[in-house]
Amino acid sequence: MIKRVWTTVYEEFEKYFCAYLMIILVVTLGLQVFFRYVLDASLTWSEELSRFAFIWCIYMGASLAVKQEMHVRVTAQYIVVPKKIRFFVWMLSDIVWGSFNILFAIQGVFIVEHAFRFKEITPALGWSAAWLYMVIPGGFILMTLRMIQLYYRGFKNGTWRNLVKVGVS
Amino acid sequence: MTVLTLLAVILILGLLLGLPVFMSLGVATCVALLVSDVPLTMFPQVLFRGVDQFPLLAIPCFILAGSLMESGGVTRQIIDVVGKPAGRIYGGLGVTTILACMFFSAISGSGPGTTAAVGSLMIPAMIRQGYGRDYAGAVASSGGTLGILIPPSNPMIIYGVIANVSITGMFLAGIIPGLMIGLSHCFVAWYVGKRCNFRGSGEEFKIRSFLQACWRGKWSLATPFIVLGGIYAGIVTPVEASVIAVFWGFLVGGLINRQLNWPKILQALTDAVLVAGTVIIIVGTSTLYGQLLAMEQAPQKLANAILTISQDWYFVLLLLIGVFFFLGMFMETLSTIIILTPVLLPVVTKLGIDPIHFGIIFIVTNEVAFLTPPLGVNLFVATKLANVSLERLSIHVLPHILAIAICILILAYFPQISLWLPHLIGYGK
Repeated sequence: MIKRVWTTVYEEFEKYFCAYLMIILVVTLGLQVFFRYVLDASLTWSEELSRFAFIWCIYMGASLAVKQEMHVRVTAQYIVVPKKIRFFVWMLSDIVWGSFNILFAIQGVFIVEHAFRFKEITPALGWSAAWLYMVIPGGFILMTLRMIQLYYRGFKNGTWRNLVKVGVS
Repeated sequence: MTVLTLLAVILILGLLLGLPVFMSLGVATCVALLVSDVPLTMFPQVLFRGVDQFPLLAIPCFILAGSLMESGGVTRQIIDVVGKPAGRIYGGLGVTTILACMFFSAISGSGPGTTAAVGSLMIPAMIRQGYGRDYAGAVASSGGTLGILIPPSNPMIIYGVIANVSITGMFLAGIIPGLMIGLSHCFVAWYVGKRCNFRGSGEEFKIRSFLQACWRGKWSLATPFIVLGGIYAGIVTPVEASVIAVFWGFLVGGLINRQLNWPKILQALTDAVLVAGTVIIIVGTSTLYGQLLAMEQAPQKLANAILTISQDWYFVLLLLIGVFFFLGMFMETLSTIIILTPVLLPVVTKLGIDPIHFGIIFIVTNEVAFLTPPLGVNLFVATKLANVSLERLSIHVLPHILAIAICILILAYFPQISLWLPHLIGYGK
């Protein structure tokens, strides 16, 4: 049981997390529409909650997209790169990407800390903004972790060449 | 090196190395901040604030609604209806594909999404009927481009947010150009079908069976009216309409057609999240990039440079269309719009071009970007469905590209075609 939970977290944490965030987003907005047009009353907190769910979806979804190798990149130029070194150029780009992720995450920690120190509060819900900002360091760190996971598996299973995605296979 | 050249050079280097678009922008911004002694903590703050824009929520919701309806059997019912009148003509199934794409575009806001939804049903059908694989793939990928022009449309929402133009106005402006380009694709599908002697299903058109198909698919057919009607009537905002679309899709697919289950719903949710994580994140990193460009007065400099070449608005527009065609071969649609809109908008407004008109031209030229290799997303989808090579497919879409190109020239020269509807209802000027 514990092992199964761990596997799900290890493999698909972002997927389920974001799916539930998306459900929260849609249901909150649905309530807002219902209250506004059917009950003729307006909710004060729905817009803010849905916006926060959305922002969390973006940065956690970015990590999911690393795992599923779905990020938007320009790859046409790889056609002129000799096949032998393609993988290394690709890995170099991922190393640059992964390192900047960490830089952004560290900067993100500063804004979280700043928000804690000044007790920044969201206007409608009255939540501590610091918790919400945590998605920036969290999302960027997860992206790098997922990237390491991809390469680790690639090298372990000998499928590392498939990590290069140029055009259509 | 000035900050401006640094921003441009690092962005291009990043893209060439193969960094994701959002990261290329992020790296360029970071380096520029370091050089100009701005504290780096500004960057994560803008990452959060830049995407904290309510209208953007419509994008994942429309994606979710589209996926729910596709897996809920809505596409099948649409094809049943639009296929009835096209049974007897040459290239009948091709024309059916285009018509189905037009209809599905009024539900979905994405190009590859429309190609996948309609193509996965129509491409096998065309191949069974003895149509060429190239033809089948070409028709489905070109029809899919309408996804971003016929509202709702994800690029229009992004453009509206960045250019500060009414999204409803954009949605209204897309209708007539969308119908125009859709019909021109129908013409190409018919003409090529006739040249290659591809026949329709041969089924005679009977009003009775057409009405029966309409009645069976009534809930699906009502979708565009439910989704778009409220926006056009000015009752609901695009975000509210997108949420209504999600609930409607859930209702039709789940409770009426009974074809939705948890794995399909989870897949639809994941589709929506992935668009947020891969595309909307670009809005996040590009916000500060755009602000830096503005601080360095890049748009003004570019405007002056272009104005020294020509002061004629039509010529400048043609020039930009040429640039978009070229970039579209390598860049993904939404990235192009996010990066270029803030830079180009001052240029075009200086020349007196209406931002809504420019937005439509921008989006129509991006339709071509879906069809031009090496990066043509619709082609990628269609090559897999039709099992043909990218090379052959990209040759067979050329007549369709020509049709779009002719439409673009007309649309660019007559702004009234796009602006008539929004002005009639009272958006724009």
